Amino acid sequence: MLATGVVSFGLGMVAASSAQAENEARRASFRQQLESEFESSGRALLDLTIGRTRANAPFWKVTLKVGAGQLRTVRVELPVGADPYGHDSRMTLLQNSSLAA
Amino acid sequence: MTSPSRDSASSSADPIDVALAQLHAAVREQLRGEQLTDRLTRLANNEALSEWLEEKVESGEDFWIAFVEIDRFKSVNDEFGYESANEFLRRLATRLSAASRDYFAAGVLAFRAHGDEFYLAGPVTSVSSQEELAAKLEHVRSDIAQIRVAVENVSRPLRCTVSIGWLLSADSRATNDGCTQPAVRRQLEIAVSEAKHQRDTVLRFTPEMHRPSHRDARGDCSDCLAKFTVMIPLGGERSGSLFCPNCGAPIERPRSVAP
Repeated sequence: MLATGVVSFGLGMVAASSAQAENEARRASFRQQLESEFESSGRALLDLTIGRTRANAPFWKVTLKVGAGQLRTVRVELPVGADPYGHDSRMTLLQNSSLAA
Repeated sequence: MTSPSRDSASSSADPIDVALAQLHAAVREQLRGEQLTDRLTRLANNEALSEWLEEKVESGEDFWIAFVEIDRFKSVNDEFGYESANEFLRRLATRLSAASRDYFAAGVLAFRAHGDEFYLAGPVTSVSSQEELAAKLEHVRSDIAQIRVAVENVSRPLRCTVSIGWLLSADSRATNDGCTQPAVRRQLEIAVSEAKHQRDTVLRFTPEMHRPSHRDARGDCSDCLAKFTVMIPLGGERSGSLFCPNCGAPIERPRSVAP
């Protein structure tokens, strides 16, 4: 069973495959890149949450610490079908969370 | 007879290295599986639920999720003791797990997140219609109401009812917060707390029940004159926690922020 990448939970089954590990690595890498990019402009990334709009377009909800004790939350919507972890999404996210909207 | 040189061994994978790598991978997966398993019921746990939700939101795949909470579980614990209460939790887990297999198509999972909080979740393709899903969740509720746990020195068996709040990802997306993992959990809390008013009830979350956590606000900064829009927590404008996102100056007058 392990060879197929599935771990038994006795009563339930949850995929604990290499694909899952890849997902986790992809999330961590995306966040790390953003953290360092925000940090270089004097901001700290506190929270990063992925979501979906009514039209099923992905969006990122970003909470930044922009100064001493100043928090800012912005929602950056991406085009329908966009890869939320892709390079274009990261650029859109950085641009939009830098602007005063 | 000569043994293979180191060069020739490194050019093709050493069977021992391959076996060790496979063993390491298997152990890693086993450990990860344990991290995602609830010890009492052996259902998938809260971390597994977070992972499942995160993947569904990332992929944009339509899903449904039901939050199953035991009615007045604390009083059950107080009256029958934690061992009997734990036995009830185990039996409830068995019923949910059976329901995930027997009532739905493939892909439905049962979770125990905390204490008396259970979830059933699956892709929308696991049911043929919303009506069918609602009917099946009624079966689940009814199945759980049939559970009886005999308790030593107590004349009547332990039994409980559950309240179930459920939602479709499309309804979650239709709210102002959109469909995020925390939003889905909040929305299910809303539905289940409504269901708990009546107890032993199944209730669907609708966007009309939504209570947004944030709202958009527009403002003008008197220091740098920037015009901006920010998401603010409801009530945040009263706490003096708003700042210009351009220059960081505090926005002191609430009237500078209009919805």
